[in-house]
Parts: sequence; structure tokens; C-alpha cells
Amino acid sequence: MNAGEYEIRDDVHYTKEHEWLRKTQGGWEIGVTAYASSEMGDVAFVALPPVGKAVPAGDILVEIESVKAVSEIRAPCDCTVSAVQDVLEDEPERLNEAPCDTWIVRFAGEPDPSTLMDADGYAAYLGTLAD
Amino acid sequence: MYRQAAYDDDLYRRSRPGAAGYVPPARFEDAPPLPSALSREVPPDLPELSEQDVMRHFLRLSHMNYGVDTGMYPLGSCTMKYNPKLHEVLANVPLLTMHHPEDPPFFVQGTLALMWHLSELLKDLSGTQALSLQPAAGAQAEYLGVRIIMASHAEAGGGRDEMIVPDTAHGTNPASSAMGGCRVVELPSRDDGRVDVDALAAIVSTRTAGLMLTNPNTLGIFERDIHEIAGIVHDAGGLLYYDGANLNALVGRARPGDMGFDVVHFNFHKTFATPHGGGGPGAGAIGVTKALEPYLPVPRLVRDGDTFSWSYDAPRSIGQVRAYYGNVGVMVRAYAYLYANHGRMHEISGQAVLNAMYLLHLLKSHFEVPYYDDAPLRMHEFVISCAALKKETGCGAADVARRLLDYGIHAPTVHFPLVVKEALMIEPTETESKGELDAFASALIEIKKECYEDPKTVRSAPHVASRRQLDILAAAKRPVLSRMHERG
Repeated sequence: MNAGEYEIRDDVHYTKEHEWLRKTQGGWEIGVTAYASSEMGDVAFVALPPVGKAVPAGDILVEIESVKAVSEIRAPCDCTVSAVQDVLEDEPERLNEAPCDTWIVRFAGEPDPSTLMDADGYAAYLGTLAD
Repeated sequence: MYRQAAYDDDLYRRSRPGAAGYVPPARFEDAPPLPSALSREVPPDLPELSEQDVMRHFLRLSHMNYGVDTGMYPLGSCTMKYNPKLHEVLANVPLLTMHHPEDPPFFVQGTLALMWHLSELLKDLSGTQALSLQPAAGAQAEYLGVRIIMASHAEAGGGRDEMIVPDTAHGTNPASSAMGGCRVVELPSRDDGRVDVDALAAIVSTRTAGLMLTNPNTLGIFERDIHEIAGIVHDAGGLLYYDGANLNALVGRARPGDMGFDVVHFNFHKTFATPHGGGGPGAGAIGVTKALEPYLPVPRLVRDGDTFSWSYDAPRSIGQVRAYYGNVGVMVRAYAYLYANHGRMHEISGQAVLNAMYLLHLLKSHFEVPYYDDAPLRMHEFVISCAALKKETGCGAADVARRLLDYGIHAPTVHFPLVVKEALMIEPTETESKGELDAFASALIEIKKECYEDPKTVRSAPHVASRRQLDILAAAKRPVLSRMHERG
């Protein structure tokens, strides 16, 4: 589905901070939504955490530097990094070209379901944001 | 209309074998050659040019420069105001320039007296009780301020490591806090663009080290709840830091010390008409309450009757943040400015606010002004948003800013503060005339029209500035920092 100009996938969960989360075997993948990608502008650099790092809920998991500003992905729960999308080190623009297809970090942990939205919920949430 | 000069020549292509800017005296021709061990095997790769070639090259480069001496420079929160040239003359008087920091104090009594009187003027303007001129810049003053706050907490038993910073703050505030050993706690703004006082009351705790605040804030809105804010922070045992970046809005009218701030810094290059940039030197004096005086850096400038000297006898001092006692030339300019405007500094802030409000009046029916409904008044600067314009035309804040360069005007600050989407942050300063403000507003309104009629031209701007559009993404990802790299 789409919300205005932004693609929204049905098979993932969403946060109010415009991240998407996909349940995988043994953990989760986290990425940024099309809306976040558009708001950030051209991404120039992605600072990835080391694999194996334990990140407490609310602490910085990933830093994304665009031509406008530096944005952060904070850990949605206590998590342990199990894999990172290394290709972003050379091709950070993937977060602009295919945000819905590009997971950034895989982690082990259990996000609180009450903090997550489904696709319909996220589309409605985007509608409430003032321009 | 003013336009930047364009010049894009390669000196190596202009090079002619044998051309030189000098003629060696005939007697040198018979001189014995250098020992071979000291001679290069390959001559250096430098272009061969006449004196006139070199003169034209550098003068043309200088014409491509843009500064407040060539035109309006409405960079929000940077206070790019005109610097009277008389101050340059005074700062370059040989009696002041031919000194060394190690000169014995009896040798430099005049310079020390100038520093002393400058400090007194700044204490009076800020409502602080003690002051150091040591920091070389605003960011260094912020770091020093955080260290002073932390030192006072450490002496009281410690345990305070949280610095509260509003979401509209200058980026230096969280950076200085982190460097000073604090955890940064973000304080949200309300619908009127001001600090959320209720949120502040909920955030403060026994871990609160302090609050860093600029007033007016980066939206140009005066934090009128400042007494309540100061009360909440002080009651929790924290201290207040005044980021002096926006002091130009208040100078001579209101004093941060009276608002409850414990530490105040000044940006001489903003408020006190010292040139910006060029890599410095700068100055960022810091003023504090009597209670925080023991922690100020060393050396201290002390006075005994009519004699001035240095003292390092300050056991509770945090130490030094730079060598010696600041950049004297910048202090001379600031002192000259304060001396010349003594008793009428309020006219400076008054005109700065009037100019910003007039410009906002010209623009508000053409651009979105975030927070306007809840807070229509602005101080020395204001923020407009190009979010709707971007949605309708594809042209955002950065496109409008780049197109302004084609109109011979420097762009405002873009994409800041972070709470406003597609922000243009505009600070005209008190030194621009009504005619310049009118021309700036007309240019912005004309560009908005272009966004609808010819968005391609706006998005590919600048077209007639000294440089065409730069690839900022490539510059961030793959910076080329050496010309030799390009020449292989």
C-alpha cells in the first residue's frame, strides 16, 4: 500500500520514529521507512554498530548522516546486534533508493508490541503529522 | 544588481617557460651553483608566471569572495553584521601588536588595563560578577562553562551528570555537554516554540547538572518563562548556562544574569563586531556568578590600585582551556565597539529586532512561519518553512537558498533549527538598511514565483554565481582535498 507518495509494506511493523521492523528467524531486522528516507534527504554516511554489541533500549543503534542533518536509530528494546548491512558503508544511498528493501541491522531482542504499529496504523499516523 | 565575479582559470595552462615575477641581479648569475646534495633532481611542479599574472590571479579570486562587505549575509544565529573598519585600524596599532604574551606585566600595563575595562563592561552588560577573556571561541566557552558547572557539582558531592538541552538548541550545546562529561537530555518545545516548562519540571532530578539555553531561542522567540525555568532548575540543584549566540537581540536591554543564568558566554565575532571566520582568531569570553568565580580558568587578571598583573593562585580553578589569556586583537575590536557605543547598546538590539520583524512582515503572507499562530513576535531572527512549497513545486529550502545566490545575496541558514521542516533561518542584523531588507524580501518572493513557473531553473541554481551547483553528497562522501590529487 501507499500513504500519499510513500510506500508502506504490509509485512512489517512500524515505530513512531519512522523505522520498520521485520520478524525473522531468531530475531528482527530494522530499517527506515520511505517517509524517513525522504525527510532525511540524500544519505552520505551510515555509522553501523559492531556485530555482537549489546545496546540498551533507547540508546543509539545507528547514526545516519544526510546532507541535512544527522539522524539516529535508537534501540527499540534491549538488543544484541547479530548482523549489519555492510554494503551501506560504501553505498549509503541505498537508504534513499530502496529504504523498504534495505535492512540496516539485525538484532536479537523482543520489542514491546504495544509500541509498534501495523501498516494501516502507520499510514494513519503519517496522516496525522502536520506538514 | 550585484553579482559575484566568476573566474575559473588554470594557472598551469597560463604558465609560460621562463616567465617570472623577478629579475635576479646580474651578479647572481656568476654565483657558484648549490652543492648537488642540496639541489633538487626534478624542478618543483610550479607554474611559471609574471608578476602581473599572479596579481590578477589572486585579485580575481578575491572578487569571487562573498562577505558582509559585499552584500547582505542573513545567516540565522550567526549575526553577520557589518564591522566598522576603524576597529581594524585600532587593533593593528603597533603599540598593541608588538607584544608577546610572555612580556612582563609592567611592560604591557596599557593592554592589561584595556582587558580589565573590557571585562568590567561585559560584566555590566551580562549581569555577571566575574569574568574570563581566555576562551578563543563560543564553543570553547561552552566547554569551559560545562567544566565549571561540573567542577562546582563535584565539590558539592557529585552525582550530577545530566545536561538538559532544548530541541531548538544550537548544535554546539549538546556537543559541549558531551565533551564536558555530561549525558544530554533533550527538552521538547511547546506549540508556541518555547521551552515546555512542564516537561522541564518532569525531567529535572538529583542528576541534573544544568540547563543550556539561548534566549531568544533559535526560532527568534523570547523565552518569557525564563524566571520559572531558572527556578525549576535551581530548585533541583542545577545551574543555568546562557548560550550567548543570540545576545544581539538583548544587548543593552536585558541581562542574562538578571534572568537567573549562572554562566554566560559572549561571541565577540557576533555581538561585538569582530570579523567572522577565516579560521580565527576568535574570542568567547565567559561570565559567571560570584559562587562560580573560584572555578574560572587561570591566569586571572588582577588589579592592585592602578597596577595590573597575572595570578595563578586559584586552587579550585578548572585549569586552562588555551595558552595565555585569549586573543588580544579581538578584545581590542570589542573594546572599541563597546566604548564607541557606550550607553546606547540598546539601540543596537532594538534595531536588530526591528529589522527582523520588518522583514518577517514582508514575508509572512508569502511563506509559512511556524509557530506564528501561537507566538507572532520574533526578536533578532525568524524561521520560515519551505515544506509546503517543496510539496507543491519540488523546490525546498536548499533550492531557494541556492537560487538566492543568483540574486547576489548570501543564503540564510538552511535546515535549522531541526524542529522546523525545510527551514530558512533569517537574521538580517541591525546594520542592513530598509532598502536592503526590501530587496531581500523581493528576491525571496520572486524566487517563490519561479518555483511554480520554472522549478527546473530553481533546482539547478546557482547559474550566475562564481560557482555552479556543487555536488554536496559527493563532497560529503568522497571529498577531494588536494589539487595534486586531481593533477595525478
